[in-house]
Formats: sequence, structure tokens, C-alpha cells
Amino acid sequence: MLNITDKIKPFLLKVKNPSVYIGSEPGSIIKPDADLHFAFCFPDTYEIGMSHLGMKILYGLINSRENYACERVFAPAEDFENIMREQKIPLYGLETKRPLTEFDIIGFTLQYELSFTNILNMLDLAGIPVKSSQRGENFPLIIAGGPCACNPEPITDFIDLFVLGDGEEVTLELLDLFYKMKGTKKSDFLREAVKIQGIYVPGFYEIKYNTDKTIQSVNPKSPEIPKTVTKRIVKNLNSAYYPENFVVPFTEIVHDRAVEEVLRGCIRGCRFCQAGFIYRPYREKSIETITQQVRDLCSNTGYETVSLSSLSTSDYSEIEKLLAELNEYAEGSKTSISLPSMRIDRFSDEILAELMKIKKSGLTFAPEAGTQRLRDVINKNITADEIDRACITAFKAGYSGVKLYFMMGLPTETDDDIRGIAETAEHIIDLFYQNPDRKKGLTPMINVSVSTFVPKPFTPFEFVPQPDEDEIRRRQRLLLSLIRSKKKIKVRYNDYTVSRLEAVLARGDRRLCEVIYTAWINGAKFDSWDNYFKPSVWEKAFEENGVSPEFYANRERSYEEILPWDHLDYLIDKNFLIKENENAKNALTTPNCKEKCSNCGVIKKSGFCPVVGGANE
Amino acid sequence: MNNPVDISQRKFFRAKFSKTKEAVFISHLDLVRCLTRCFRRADLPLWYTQGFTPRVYLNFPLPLSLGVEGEREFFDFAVIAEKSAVEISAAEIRERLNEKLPDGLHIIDVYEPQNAVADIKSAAYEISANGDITKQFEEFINQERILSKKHTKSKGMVEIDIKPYINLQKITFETLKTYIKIILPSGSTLNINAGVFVNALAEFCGVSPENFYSKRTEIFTEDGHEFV
Repeated sequence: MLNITDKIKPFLLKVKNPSVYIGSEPGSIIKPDADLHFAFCFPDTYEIGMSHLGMKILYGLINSRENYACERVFAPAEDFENIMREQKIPLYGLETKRPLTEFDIIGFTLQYELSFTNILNMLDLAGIPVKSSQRGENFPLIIAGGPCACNPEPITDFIDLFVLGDGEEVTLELLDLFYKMKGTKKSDFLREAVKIQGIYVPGFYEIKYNTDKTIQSVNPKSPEIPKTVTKRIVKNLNSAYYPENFVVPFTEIVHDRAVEEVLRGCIRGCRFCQAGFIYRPYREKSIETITQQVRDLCSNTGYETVSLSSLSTSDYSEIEKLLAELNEYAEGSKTSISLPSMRIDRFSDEILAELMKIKKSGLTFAPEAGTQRLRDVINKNITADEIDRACITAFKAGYSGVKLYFMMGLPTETDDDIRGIAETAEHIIDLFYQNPDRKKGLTPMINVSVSTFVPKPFTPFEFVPQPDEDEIRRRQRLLLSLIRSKKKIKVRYNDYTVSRLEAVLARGDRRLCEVIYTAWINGAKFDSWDNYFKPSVWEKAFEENGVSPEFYANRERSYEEILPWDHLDYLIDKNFLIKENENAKNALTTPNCKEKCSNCGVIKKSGFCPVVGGANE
Repeated sequence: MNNPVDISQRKFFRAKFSKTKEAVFISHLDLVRCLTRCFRRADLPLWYTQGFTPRVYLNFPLPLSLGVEGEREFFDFAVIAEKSAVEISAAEIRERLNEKLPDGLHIIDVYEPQNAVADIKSAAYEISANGDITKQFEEFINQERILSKKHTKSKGMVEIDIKPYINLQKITFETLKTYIKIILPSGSTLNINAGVFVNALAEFCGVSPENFYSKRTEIFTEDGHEFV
């Protein structure tokens, strides 16, 4: 067997950050003699991938089985990739430095659409044919899961099997089946695998198209294949697997801290937010579970910071009590607690006081839209008053700046809404100067970050068009011209072409597989990185394959149209999404799940939602 | 978080450690972070400096460059001895740390520092390369001047003649590799690290510096004794 460690060593000093290619970090689990080898691949660099919680959970979970081994694999940065290609060093698992071809299963996590080309690049770096049809029996099984698996159609040519929903249970069920059937033909395994809820094998379905390019039908190729595949949910987060230890990187990564997931799902139902729908139902861990897991993680990893992670941590039912208990622990152990996702309307003096005790970090609020009307359209149920109050609280506490997130290109958006973004920021400057206790000489700084709205599957906006390039650029210019306090308000927005590609891939179908393949062949990779994104390569790839990006990004879908992901069941009722989209058009808000059940479909389809109760376990 | 600590309660130690295998690719800053966390994992309360931003007290008398192996390296630290707790022994600190350290990092000994950091005067290195370069090395070392670029705090990059500073101990060719043993001045007054030497040698041989593997084998005080 070729010794990759010895092969890479002479080259490591030529690359930036060599420690990300050597493994052996504290907390890593090395099992060269396991019966089943699973490679967990994150299709981006180490610094980004190692910050990802899902990988830490599944890494610990698979390795908790004595005879299964899970190793980590990341996309090498360009300098190391060049060396690997020149020296014919195949992509390898960090733990045993085993080449990817010697694993049984290779699993990719799909966190964002713009990482798709990296999947192809990583397979290619491993010497594995990127297309399923060219792989045959001797290559590992290639699987994928994560949020973008809710519409995996654009990468169905490359991936053999998708895992839908929460991974804690289904991953082991799948691995157990694989272990039991080891040595049998891939197709036999796949036919067995689809009997497990949450497993989707795209090769078993045939897609037919209408002459107008819309989908005519999606049908299983044989009768024993289910017509729809339903995602998995873990019902009780207190008893679900959670790692007691993390791999602690040598190098500094994006989120270099312990992470405790305090709840999963979201009660809010913001209409643009895919995560808010595909992770339903809303489930909380108990205070006891959280404090125990925090203690374990901190003492095992040696991390000095722990972050309470979720889609909206301030929604946690007993947030004040939880913070009080954790602070007691934190003070005694020189640990700091960070709360990454706060909602403006839950931002109280008490929460701020608890936060201030620990660490003074930057404050970010996300009004998302500039006017009340548009916030009602997207169901971001916060008011101008609440934004004001949050900022006043922050200024009183000594902050001189806040960061504000907005989106541009939301359905029904007009120039008045753009004006609203500028006015919101200007108003916050006024609030700063109205604070009588402000430190003299301090200047306020408002960072306004504006991203282009990307309509996503399984949201009420899955039907709506993304505005085209000219229109977005006009609105961006308009916003800049409306800012008066140019020194105190800094506006940043992202490039439209990136957002459009994201919009194409997010709601794409199987005809995009060839586009992605062509783009990758011509050098597309790291598309989410500004300095790598190559718009002309993508443009050419669309052209060459006769695919129009406008068809996917900028077209309104009728409610009757068969959408590429309609055969995947994320427990969300399509009629609910239609109703919500109609409410959006009329700027009608929907209360959050704790106030009133909006019948999103989760209860009807799964019989389980802890917010409603009853079926709670 | 920043509770004032009775300074009389802190106790200074010096650790002798080795940095080998893949751990040579851990940068100095990453090593500091890694060790800090290892102390926390080992439940050894490190003393924090009591300034405006408290920092963990973890000092390296002679930091090792990235990519250089170290056989006998040192770092100084201080632990807080809790009044109620039984005083923790140096041997126990060593054991508890070794249990938590990653592969390639190993604590050889923990003891109370004898020498001051300023006592460091030189260090021994073993430079190796594939193939027999003994002939080339002879030409290299017999040059009238051996010029190499060195980074200085005051003037940035400067070119200096390092020939007077190279103390050649031995050169051998065995098992297809050339081993060069040298002693170079080290410490706060004059410091020539292995990289400065290797760069000059690599340039002379017309190859890239990555073709040489460097290992620091020992650190000496003025009188040629090992730093303790």
C-alpha cells in the first residue's frame, strides 16, 4: 500500500497551513483495522468544514461503533491540490491517510449549493470517476446528505444515494445494512436501502419533461420503489446521540469553539428561510441535557468558548434560566458562552446583561427588510419599535455599532422598501445620538449587509422568480444613493451573478448535472469564494448544454407545476406553502408555532410536533 | 472571568518536550493554542497574566520554526496551586499532560527552571538530505564567505556572512542519506536558525530548501552545557 504520509511530507512546507493536511489533532479517532470505513467529506476547505456541527455529530456517532471507522476529508486549498495532482497523491482520509478509493462508503455533506463543483473535484482528486454510471462495482458507494439534499436533483448524476433529514438514526441503519450486505452488488444494496425511511436513490426514478421544459412526471422505474421519499426526524434530542468530544484543530478555524446545539427546527416560519421549514418540527433539549453536554465538551476539548447553536437560540423556552445556569459554570471554569443567533424581539436587558458579563462581542441584527410591509410579506414578525428598542439597549450598554442584515429582491419589493433600508440605518444613527449617556467623542458605525434573495425549495417562495440582473443592480445603486451618512453607514452587498447561480442550483433539476459537469471540467470550483468564482465558465457551461439559467432563477412557477423536489417529502404540505405565498402577496403575517399552529403539515404527516404537544414523546 | 489570583499561589515550571513526526508541521502559534487546551483538558489550572487582557503564561525560550523537528525543546509555564488542594507534583503534571497531548508531542520532563532564558547561547542541529552531498558540502563550507538572508527586527531582511558562526561537528553519509551536524549561535544576542543555514546550502546546491530536513537536537548555555 502506498504510504501517503511519506509522500506528502516533503511538500508540506511549500503550502500554507500544513497542519490541516496531517490529521492527528487531539480528539481525532484513528481506527485502521475497522470492518467498515466511512469517509465523511466536506466539500470545502478544512477551516470551513471543521466548523460544521453535523460532521462532528456523525463523526462521533459512526466511531462510537467499535467496528466502524469514520475519517474526515476536506477539499485541499489550491496550492496543495496542485502538488497532489503533480505528485499523483490521491485524496485521503486525515485519520489513517488511506486513499478514498479504499473506503467502503464516501459521504458528502451538502451545506450550500455553491459547493457542488467541489464534490466533483474531490472525487476526481481521489481518482474516482465523478459520474455514478462510470463507477462500477470496484469504487466506493458515494452518498450525500444535509440541507441541500432536499433538492439533490442537480447532482443526481454523481451521487448514488441521498439521506434525507436528521442523520443520527438513519446513518447507522444504512451502515448496518451495508455491513450486512458487504460484498453484494451495489444495485442489490441500493434496492434494499430504499426500504429504510429517508433513503433516496435517484437512479430508481425516471423524469419526463413537457415541451415547455417543465417536468411532466417523476416515476419510480419499478413498482417496489416508493413514489415519494420521506425525510427522517429524531424525536427526542435528549436521548439522540451527541458527541462528548470534538476534534480540536491545530490551526484556527472559522468557529473555533465548542458547540452545543440547544434546539432544532424553528417556530418562526420566515417565508424566505429554507432551514425554518426543512428542519421542522421544533424540538428543544432540556436544560439538564444542555448543561451536561456543555460540561463534557468543554472539559474534553479544552475549548475556552462554547456557543449555544440553533436557528434561533433566543426562542429557547427558558433561555434566561439556561443562561443563568451556564454562567455559573462558565465563571467557575474560565469558559465563555456565546449566543450566535438572537432575534431582535427577544433582545432584552437581561439577555444583554448576561452576554456582557462574559464577553463583549459584536452585535448583529437581521431585520431582513427595510419596511414593515415587506417584513410582513416575508413573515419576519418584528416591528420597527423592536429594532429601535434593541439598538437603544445596545447603545446604553456601551456599544457604538451594530451590524444589520437585509435582503434585496424579495417578492413584491418596491423602491420604497429599498428606501426603508437606508432610513432604518439612518434612524439608528439618530438613536445613538439621542442616548444621553453616550461616551463623548464616540462615533456610531452601522454596517449594512445586503444579500440578494435566493428563492429556495420547501419555502412559500419556491414558486417566485428572482429579479434579474439589471433590476438588482439598479436597486443596489439606488440604495447607495440614498445613504446620507456615508462615513457612519457602510453598505456591503454580494455579487448578483453568485446569487443567481445559487438560485439556479437551488431549484434545479437533473438537466443541470451536465452543466455542473461542464463547469467543473472548465475549472469551476470553490464557487462560494469571491476570488475563485468564474462567471464566464458557468455562462459557457449553460450555453454549451442549451440550458437557460433564467428558466430556473427568474421564472414564476404555477402552483400546478411539478417541481423537481415534489417527490421528496419534508413533511411540509405544498398547500400550506401555497397558502403562505398568497398571504405574502397580501402582506398577511402568520403567527409563530408557539402562538398558533399554522398546520404546516408536520402533524398531519408525522403525527409528531412537540410544540403542539399531544404526540410528544 | 478575570478573578484576581494571589500571586504567591502560582508555581513556575519548565517542561522539556519533543516535537516529532507530523507535529513538526504545527506552527508555533498553533502549538501555544494546542498546549493551552491540553492543560485545560488535563485539568491543570494555568496561571493567566493579570493585565487588561489576561493571557495564559506559556513562554518558549527558543521557539522552533515550522517544519523543524525538536528532540529537546522547552516551554515555561505557571500553575495556580489551590490552597485546599494537595500541591501537584512535576511528575504528575508530566503524566497528565502526556495523556492529553496529540501524537508527535511528548513531555520528557517537568521541573523548576534552573537557567534563565537569557543563558541560551547556542543550539545543535542535524540537517539531512537524500543522496550523497558530502562533496558539495565540502565546497560549500570551504567558501570564503557564506552569504544568507536573515530577518532582523531593526532592518528587516539583511544579507550576512554566516561562515564564522557555523560550528561543524560531523558530516556522514549512511543509508542513502547525508547527515550534517552543526552548532549555531542561538538566543537573544545572536540567533542563526537552521533555516538561514539551510537556505544558503540549498542555494549553493541549486535545489529548493524543502529537500533538507532539519532537526534541533539540543540547546546549550554559555559553557556548552545543556539548558535546564
